[in-house]
Amino acid sequence: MSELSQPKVTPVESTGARSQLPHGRRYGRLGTLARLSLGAGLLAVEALGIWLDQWADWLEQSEQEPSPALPEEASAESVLIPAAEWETIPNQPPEPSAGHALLGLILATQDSLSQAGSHLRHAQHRAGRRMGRAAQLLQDSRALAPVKGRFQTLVERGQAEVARWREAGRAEEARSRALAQAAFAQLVDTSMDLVVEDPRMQVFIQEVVQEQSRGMLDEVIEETRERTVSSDMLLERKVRAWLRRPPRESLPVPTAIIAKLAKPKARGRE
Amino acid sequence: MDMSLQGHYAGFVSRLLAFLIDVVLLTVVLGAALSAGLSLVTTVNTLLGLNYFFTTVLGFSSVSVEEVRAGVGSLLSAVAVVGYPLLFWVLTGQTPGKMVLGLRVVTLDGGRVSLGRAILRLVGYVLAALPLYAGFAWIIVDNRRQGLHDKIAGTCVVYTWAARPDETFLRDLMEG
Repeated sequence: MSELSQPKVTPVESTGARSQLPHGRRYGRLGTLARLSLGAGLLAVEALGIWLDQWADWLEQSEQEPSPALPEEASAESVLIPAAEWETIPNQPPEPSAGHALLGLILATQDSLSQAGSHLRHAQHRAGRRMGRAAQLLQDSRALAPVKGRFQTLVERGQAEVARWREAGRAEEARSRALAQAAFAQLVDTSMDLVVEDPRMQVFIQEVVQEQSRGMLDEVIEETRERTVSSDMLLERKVRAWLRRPPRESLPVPTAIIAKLAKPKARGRE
Repeated sequence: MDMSLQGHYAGFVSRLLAFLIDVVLLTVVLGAALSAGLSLVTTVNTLLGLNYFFTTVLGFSSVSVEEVRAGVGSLLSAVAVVGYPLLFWVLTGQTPGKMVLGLRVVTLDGGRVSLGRAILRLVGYVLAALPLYAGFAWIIVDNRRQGLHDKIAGTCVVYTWAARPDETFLRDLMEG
């Protein structure tokens, strides 16, 4: 596994000797874990953002499109069963569902929270303006002039510290992302190796694939059989009509054959 | 309403499709067997000198290896074409094509087909084909969906699976 060596991560010089560990390694386990978590978090947030945008688009599109029509078989008349013999399903109104009520409540809460957030931002803005005016009065006051110098120094020191953090964060972001991507690639490779090398896993996958193939084959065969049975009926109907013979009401029921097929074990070799 | 047609008489299209599957299968298997058999003849001729054996030992002065190859080919084909249906009808009542489509050949009371009936049925195939295949087409109009070969052998073909038509497909066919 040499994936970890793939991303070219350039060390940040600004962090200097402070990140040097006593035993000569630049990053300890904790530091690497922190960077890995940070990178993974960033990637996850980025991916989630993209997905959320896509899902939002999908929701908007689905609202604009008309609701899908019922499938044909549900609306059209059955060819084989006379309509009079259909089991009548009473057309009852849908029952009120507690689940639907809960869903509605959640969505309404989300709307309310969204509005409350907007109100909160407005209130914060107003409070900030008022606080600014009050602070301006204090700043202009001569009585506070001696303290102002020290305060200014403190502010400048704080701003410098924040700027340093910003610089380090900018550099660490790229490094953390690269680390998370490399770790993810390594995880995928390890999983693939596990699948390829572990005989039990191979057998398991083989069984799954075989089962799926068998399922597909069964489906194709069943579909073919159903269609040929349909074609049997249709051909007879057409030929009988062509020969001006009355349509076949129903096939004679071979009771003895049906009974024998129902219990094939009793017939020995079958 | 139970729409299952299991045990009911199978129709023309199902039987025709099963027959075509059998033809394809038999062609592939027979082709491979013939190829192997003829290669064997050539190899044996090379190693043992069949020409010498036939002309000198057995005294057939006119027999050549090509004739032997043709003879072997014809013999294999005949055995396969006759043996294939007989074997499956007698053993299981189902050729591979019928197995795929869930059909079985049975006697009119649902019993297994004996060797005698199977031979009669095979002869019936030839007779059914003679009047421009009308003997097979009779399946379409017969009450028990029997062809001439079925009538001769006293057999019928039934669905062995819970047969049901595909209504959507049927509707599409009728409308189209």
